Amino acid sequence: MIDLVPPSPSAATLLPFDPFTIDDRSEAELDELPFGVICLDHEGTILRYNMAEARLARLDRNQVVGRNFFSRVAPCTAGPAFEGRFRDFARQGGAQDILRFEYLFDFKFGAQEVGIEIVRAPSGDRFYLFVNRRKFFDARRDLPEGFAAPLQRELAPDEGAAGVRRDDVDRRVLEVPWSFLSALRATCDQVAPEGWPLFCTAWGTQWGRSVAVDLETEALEAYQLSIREVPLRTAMEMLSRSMAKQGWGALRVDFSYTAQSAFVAHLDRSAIAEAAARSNTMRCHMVSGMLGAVFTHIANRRVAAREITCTARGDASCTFVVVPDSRRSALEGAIQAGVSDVGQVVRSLKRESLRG
Amino acid sequence: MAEPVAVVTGLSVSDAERSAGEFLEAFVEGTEVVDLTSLPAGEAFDLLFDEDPSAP
Repeated sequence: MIDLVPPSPSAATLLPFDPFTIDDRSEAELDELPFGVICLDHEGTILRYNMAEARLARLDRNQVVGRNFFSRVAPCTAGPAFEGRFRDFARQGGAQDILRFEYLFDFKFGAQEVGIEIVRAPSGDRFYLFVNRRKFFDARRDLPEGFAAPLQRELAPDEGAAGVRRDDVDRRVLEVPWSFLSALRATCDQVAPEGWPLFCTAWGTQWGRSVAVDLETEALEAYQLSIREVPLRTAMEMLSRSMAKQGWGALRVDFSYTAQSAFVAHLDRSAIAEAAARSNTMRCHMVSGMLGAVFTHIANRRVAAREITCTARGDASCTFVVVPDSRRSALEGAIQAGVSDVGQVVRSLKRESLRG
Repeated sequence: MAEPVAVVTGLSVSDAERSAGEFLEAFVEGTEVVDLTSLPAGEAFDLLFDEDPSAP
C-alpha cells in the first residue's frame, strides 16, 4: 500500500523547479540544493547522489554510486517501512505521485530524523529520493550488527595509502601549499590577463554555493535550523570560522553601513592576496564571488560583493563591499573610478542610486 | 595576549539576534532607488549629504 501522507515541511516544495523534472537537472543543480537527493534504479542501485546528502551522510559519492542503497549504503532502510514502500511505489506509483513518509536514519556517528519524498522520473525506471533532515540525535545504542550505515572508511578502507585525505566530516580535502594559488595567479596573468577577474569571480560564486550547502548542514547539525534561521551573528561567526579553518584568512563583517544599503567584510591575511605577492590590482575576486553567493543564499535574494582594497596591492586589509544586486553596477563603477575608502564608496553608491 | 578580534561589528543587539535570513532579506528589500525629482529640494539634499558614518 502506498502511503501518501505528507510530512511537513516538504523538500519537494523547496525545489526551485518542478520535482518531476529533476532527472533533467545537472549535477551542479542538484549540488546547490540544501537537502539530500538520491537517484535509484528500481532495484535500489544508487545512480546519483548530491553534495548535501554526501555531506550529511558523511559519505563520498564516488564510493556510493553504483552500490545498492538498501543493502550496502543505508542498511537501516532495508525493511518494509522504507525499502518495502519504495518497491511498492516502484511497482504501482503513478507518474505524478509523490510517496512521502518519515524515517529515522541510523549512522554510526548519530541518528537523523528525516522526511522522505520519492518521485518517479519520466523515463519510469529511475526514482528520486528527497531527504529532508528534521532532527539530529546521538547514535542509538544496541542496534543489531550491520544495521547502521557504514562509515566512509568502512566503505573504502585504506584510502590514506591511496593518497586520499579527509576532514572531520569525511569530506575529501587537499592540503596544498600556497604556491598552488600563486601558480593559478601566474596562469591567469599569462593566459587571460583581461578575463581572469571575471573567471575567478565566477569560480568563487560556484564555490560559494557549495559553502552555503556546508553552512546549511552545519546549522542543521548544530541548531536543527536552516542557516537563514540562525541569528545573524551566529551565521557570520560560522562563515568566519569555516574560512579560518580552511586557511583562507580571518573574516570580519561590519554592518555599520546597512542604513546605506551596504555592509563590509574584511579578510585579514587573505591567502589569495598573500599568494599573489605584490600586484597593481586587487586579487581576491574568488572571495568576492564566494561571499556574494553565500549572502545571496542566506538573503534568498541576489547580493553582490566586490573587493575595494587588497593587501596584494599594498592596502592594509582586503575589504569587500556587499550590496543588493540592484547596486552592483554602481559599486563596480565606483571601484573602476578608483574609490577605495569604504565611506566614499558607500556615499558614491548612494548618489548613484539617487540619480537612478 | 592580544584581544580577540570581533567577527561581527556594527550591529545593534536586537539585529545581532535577528535571524540571518530575515536580516539580509530586509537588507536587500530595503534598498530603493529614490527619484530625487519627486522630492522637495531640501529633502533631496538631506538624502544626498546626510552624515557619513565613517567620519571621525
